[in-house]
Amino acid sequence: MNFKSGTYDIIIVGGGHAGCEAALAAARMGHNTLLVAMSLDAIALLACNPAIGGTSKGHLVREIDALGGQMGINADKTLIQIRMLNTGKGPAVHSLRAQMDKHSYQQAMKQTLENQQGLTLREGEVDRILTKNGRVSGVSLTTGEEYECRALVIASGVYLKSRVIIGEYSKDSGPNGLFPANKLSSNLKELGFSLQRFKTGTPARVDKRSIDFSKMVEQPGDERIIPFSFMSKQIERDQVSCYLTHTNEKTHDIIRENLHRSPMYSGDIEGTGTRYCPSIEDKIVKFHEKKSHQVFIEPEGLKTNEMYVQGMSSSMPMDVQVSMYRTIPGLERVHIVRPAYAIEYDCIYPEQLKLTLEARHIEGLFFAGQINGSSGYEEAAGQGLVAGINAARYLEMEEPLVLDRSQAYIGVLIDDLVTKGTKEPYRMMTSRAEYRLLLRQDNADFRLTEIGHRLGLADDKRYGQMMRRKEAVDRQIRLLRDRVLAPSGLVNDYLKGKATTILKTGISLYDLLKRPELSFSDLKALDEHVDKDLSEDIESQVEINIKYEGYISKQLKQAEQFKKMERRLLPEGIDYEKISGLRLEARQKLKDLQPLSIGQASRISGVSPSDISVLMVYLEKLRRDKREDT
Amino acid sequence: MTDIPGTTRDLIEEQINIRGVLVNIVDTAGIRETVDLVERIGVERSKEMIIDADLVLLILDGSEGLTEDDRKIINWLGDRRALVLLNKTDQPLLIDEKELASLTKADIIKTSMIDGSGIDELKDYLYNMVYSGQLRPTSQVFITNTRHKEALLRADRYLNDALEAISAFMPLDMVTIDIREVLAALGEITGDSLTEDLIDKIFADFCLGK
Repeated sequence: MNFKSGTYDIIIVGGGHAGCEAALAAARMGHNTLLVAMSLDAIALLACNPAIGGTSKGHLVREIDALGGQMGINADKTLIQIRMLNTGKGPAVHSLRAQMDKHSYQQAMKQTLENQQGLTLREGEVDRILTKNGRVSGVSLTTGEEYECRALVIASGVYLKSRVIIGEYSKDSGPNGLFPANKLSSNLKELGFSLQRFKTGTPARVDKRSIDFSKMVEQPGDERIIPFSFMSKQIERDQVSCYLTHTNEKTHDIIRENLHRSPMYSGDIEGTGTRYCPSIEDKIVKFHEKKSHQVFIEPEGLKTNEMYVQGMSSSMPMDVQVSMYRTIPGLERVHIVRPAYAIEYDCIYPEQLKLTLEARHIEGLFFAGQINGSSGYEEAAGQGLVAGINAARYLEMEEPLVLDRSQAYIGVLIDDLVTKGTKEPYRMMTSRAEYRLLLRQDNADFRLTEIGHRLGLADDKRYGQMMRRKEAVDRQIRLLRDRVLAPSGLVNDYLKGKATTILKTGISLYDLLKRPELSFSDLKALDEHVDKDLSEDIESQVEINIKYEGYISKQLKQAEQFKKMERRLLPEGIDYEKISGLRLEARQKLKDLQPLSIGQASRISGVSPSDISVLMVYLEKLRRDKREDT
Repeated sequence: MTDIPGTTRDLIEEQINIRGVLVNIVDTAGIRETVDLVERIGVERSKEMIIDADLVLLILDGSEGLTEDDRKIINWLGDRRALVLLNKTDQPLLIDEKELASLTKADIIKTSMIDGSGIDELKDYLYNMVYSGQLRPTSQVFITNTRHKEALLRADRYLNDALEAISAFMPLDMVTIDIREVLAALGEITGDSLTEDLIDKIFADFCLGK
């Protein structure tokens, strides 16, 4: 029997990375919030890799943090190794990646949720979304409870009708043996959502004691820990290592011989997997000319012997898994603790959402995370944060938060999903961002903290810290501009030593730093007036801003050009049938997707530049008509 | 198309890209004495085309001896820039190469369209002709639209910036910023770039009424 169990402003369904950020954001913005999760033991579960961050994902974590989200703070608390990736490349692609103590990360996040004022947790399975007059009105649980709410965020991850497959064996199950959610899928269909089926997978976990690390290359963490969160103080912590090894021809032979037993190839899996995180059998088939693939052994935590075998995700039968893992140097006698598996699940076509992550046809209903066809903890968390914020803004009847492609990776992520849709689990990549020199991980606070502060999410302390950091950088840049270095024997000897041109006339330190051969530490050596006590962080900010100044300003101009198109808004309820000159396909797509602006319309596949010209002419005529009427 | 001589009467134009050189190929009707009126019109049009062409490719059927028509054409071509393709080398050659060389100043390449021999040599020949400056495009490119001219100049400027960035060992992310500018400028000509003032131009250049 159904019974009324309570009323909340906002309900979040799901306690994964999206659900956690959504719930915290909603509660922190002052709304009475309920989070319902199938298992409270699986809050913020790192179901696959024991790591947070990575190329472009580290950017997402920094952005979440800058807006006032939680992932970065809790990752800093529980990381057991961290590295800045891609330091050999330009500053745009530097990215933090950290190994987590899985258990501690979950515990930390659960505790954050439990202690959050205005947030209530509840274990249970939501089977129905309740609506009234095209608006969300609550949820019902399989156990009969009905909770009322005015805004709802669905962050149900990979649990919808999920099925785990290991070779010829399969069972209805969520990840890590957790229960699947079987009811919500059909309810979503009843509510008019079209669903697609995706697949992802995870490698085996193996016993540390059965590994011969002497045959692998140790991968230690960075000497100096740079934390994710702008709020974290310097972290002093012993770090643990990862280990690198490789597959070989023997591994590949075993896979090839058994390919017919892989459900991916026998047709037992219908879901679409991601190209960017392929199983080992996918890699062997698609890159058949490669004789070897990297395999990283990563610790699952400090209080467990389980190790994660990155690069060896698979859906092969158990006997094949054991024999192929054992061909790898160092894994000859490996003991598999948990098998690798593939998992398929239902998710919605994200084109059914607005840029706010609200469903186009049901008011107050928001979606975030893997249910939207994305993959990855950080992608989920970023969407969760935006969905939580916008659920709150919806109740406040305030302007929603829509980050554009020139503001944040989160903006790129959401725009890609809802504007273009996705045919495979969507993964963030730096190459997806057009303005990546602007969207660096090191300036996420400069880009976003003010926005987070205005939303009431980033607190005064965070805002104050960002402002101080900004002032310190600006002040240094001014000083370097004003300070002129005169040529002298001493100076020129130093410059010769650095293989850079000697001085004939005075030069500002600002211009000197532009030289590729020189860094901020050289300025300190050359001129005693240069501040010696700056943090490395400020020094590197100053360096990036001066060295790449020309490119940064070029990209700013490009972003400005881009924004002009984003600001040309398409009025709501525009009747595309009545605009002559649009091609049929474009007309249909525009009708379905209802883009917010000319800019967004131009990114819809099937809408050509000439369709856009037609739209622009239409808008301009509309504007001129209006002007003549007044 | 058939392999009976005299059956190509229309001009068939095709553009091909030979290692970055855009070549406009026109397949003309065969040139021969004929009483057929329709065919004669075809022959006349072929002759006009040949006069306008930057290069004439004369394809001779090497599996037959030189015909009277062939000799007439060779004669008629005179000093015109031409290249003789001695084709069908997959079959026994019945044309005497020395004799052919004495009849024409044009270079000769032996080809077979069946086994593809000589095709690379032909491509090299065309490519080298353009890049050695022997062949100047007779129809020069005129930019009549000031907006296009401005866009091309801008593209050129940013290309140079990109080259400079590469030689200064700038990270690739910087180079792509310039390349993006180049594409945007070219896109303004092709209509692939959206620019804010495009709309003003449309309204200025064309009368769209209300």
